[in-house]
Amino acid sequence: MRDVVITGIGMVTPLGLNVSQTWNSLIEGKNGIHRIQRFDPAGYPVRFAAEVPDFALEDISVSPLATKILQQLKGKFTYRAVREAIQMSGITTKSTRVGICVGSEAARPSLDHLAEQLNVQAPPDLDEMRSMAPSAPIDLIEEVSGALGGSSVISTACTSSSQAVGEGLYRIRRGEVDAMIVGGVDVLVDPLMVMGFSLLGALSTRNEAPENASRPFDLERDGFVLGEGAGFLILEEQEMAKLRGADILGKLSGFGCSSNAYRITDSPPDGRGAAQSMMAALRDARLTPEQIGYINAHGTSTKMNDTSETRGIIKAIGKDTPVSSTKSMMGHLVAACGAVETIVSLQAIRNGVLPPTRNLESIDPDCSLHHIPHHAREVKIDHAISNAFGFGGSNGTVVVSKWQ
Amino acid sequence: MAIVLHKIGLATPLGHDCDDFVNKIEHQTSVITSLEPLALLACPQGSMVQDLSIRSIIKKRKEIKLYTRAAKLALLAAYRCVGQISKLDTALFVAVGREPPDEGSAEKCLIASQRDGIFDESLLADKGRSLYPPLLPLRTLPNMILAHISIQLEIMGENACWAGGEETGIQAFQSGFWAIKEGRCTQALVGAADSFISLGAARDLHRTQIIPPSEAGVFFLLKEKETPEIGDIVVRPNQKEHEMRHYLLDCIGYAGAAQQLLELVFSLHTQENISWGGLSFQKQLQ
Repeated sequence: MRDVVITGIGMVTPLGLNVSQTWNSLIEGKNGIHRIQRFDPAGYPVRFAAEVPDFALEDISVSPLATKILQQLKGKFTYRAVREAIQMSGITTKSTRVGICVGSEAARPSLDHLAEQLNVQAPPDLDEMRSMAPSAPIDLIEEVSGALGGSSVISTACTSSSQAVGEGLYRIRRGEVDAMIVGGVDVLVDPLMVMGFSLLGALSTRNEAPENASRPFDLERDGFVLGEGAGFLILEEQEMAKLRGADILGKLSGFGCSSNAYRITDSPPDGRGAAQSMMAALRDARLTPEQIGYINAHGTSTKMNDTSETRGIIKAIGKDTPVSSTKSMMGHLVAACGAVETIVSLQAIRNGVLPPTRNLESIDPDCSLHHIPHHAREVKIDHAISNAFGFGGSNGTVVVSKWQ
Repeated sequence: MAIVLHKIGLATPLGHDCDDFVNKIEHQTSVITSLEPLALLACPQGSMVQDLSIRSIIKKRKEIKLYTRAAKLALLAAYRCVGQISKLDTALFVAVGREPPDEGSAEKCLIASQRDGIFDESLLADKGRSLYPPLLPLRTLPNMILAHISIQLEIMGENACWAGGEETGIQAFQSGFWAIKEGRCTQALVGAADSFISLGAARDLHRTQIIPPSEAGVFFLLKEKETPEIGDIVVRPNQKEHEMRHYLLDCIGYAGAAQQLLELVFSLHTQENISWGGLSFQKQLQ
């Protein structure tokens, strides 16, 4: 079997516009959750979120379609994170042996577009339609990277980019391609999404103290915090990466996946789907639970997810492995969270530092695990897993390992 | 160990029986007609599945409000494809189109949230709030189609939801094949569902010049089998590509993510051996 290594990473998150800014903020336990700035949230049931700080892209020469995509936040985040990952890797992506897989929520028309549709009854032009299609991020990545080894979009809610990483692993292993650009992007901080998720009762309503709102595994948790961002990784077949003298950041050891087959919004209380996903990932990585040194939990800060995930972790890995949820600092990046948190897990291995769970004041007895509250912990580890569990019951677990 | 195509489930404007579906295409039977849901369009022609009743399949009837047309098509086709199958060891890969349209449920809210033709977020928080359909995100997330099938048919294995155009059908099929081939499961339910039977979706489709709009659900059950029997369709990796003949547009119109898998159904019934999507499909003769 061909082994797969990671040679490049890129991130745009509420805590930073690149990997080092985000990582440094995470290990310092910084907060990326504030009152919403993008629009006036007065009157909304939830008035805070984890927004990516505004930034401008340099002028780049691209096609009219890519220009339209780059005018959207999704496009900007994708471009910046992919560019960071490719530059770090040093790989030549212009090849039919390099594929792309992106986890992304499917097209959500812009509010301007909806208003136009309602008022003018005029359909958008073709480029505008394509810029809002699920394939928009891959259209952009194909153009800027030149990768021609096949591309796809996975849209499985919060599990999307975890599955995109898994898809990249499988495609390289079976020899379809030699490298993959994988990751995810999502932008949920807009009025319709904030209103929609608020009315579903899924969000924390701590409007008076946003910095304390995301508190995974805490007794006082009351829902998740909407976030946004992008995370991308360059995966390569190990021998080819070595041959070109790449700086190998770590190994992508395994991936596992399952369905809860339970309810649309609820996780099964016994954590069976989560456990099945983690066990499948360990099997795939040929590792035992004892070898896992860190778990980056899905840890959304909802009552149900955190207890269900705890039971899943206990079943699959046990109670002694250090666990944290970085959503406590940067909110829930939804379709992007799987890739971003895989990168965080990789950074934990590379730096020998496990990021903390912020706001974990009083551990819920139903979430009793080996938590890392408040402060990062220095521990040298060889293997880490990253969980991502989605609305609808899809679960994904990625295993990353130290590069020897 | 071989991988065989065990069963096909359909929900199409040409019916749900495979032989009937193939027969109608061979005879170029068109079911394209003026559709009442598209009556406001300049060109209301299209084809749709008339009976989308899923009441007898779903466990909780009150959840029916969470199903878009595409989700109903998917569940009907998937249900016709599977019998008593192992829950843990079955993978599920689904292809869907764009985010399923909410079929107008949010329009009142959006109209109330405009000032002088421009969307105003403060009006959404005010007048629009009570008109916002609270279940909208759950109806329209693309992976809800996968979730409904997984929950109703109790499928717990590896899964993914591919979003985009026609190519997603191939991606879902390939994922199921490789999940079995690489030993991660012993069977896989793979398929696609899409519907353009709503004003917004049909209008966008007209814009791309691919008309008329249609809808369909199509699923395949792939299984690992030690010794294929005569008549089994054995699926193998193969780089040769078969040119699909696009009969469907004339008969039903365009069914998006389901289109290529419907073409595959037709080809499988009318040809002995075909190669498609990096796979070959060969009937076991002895």
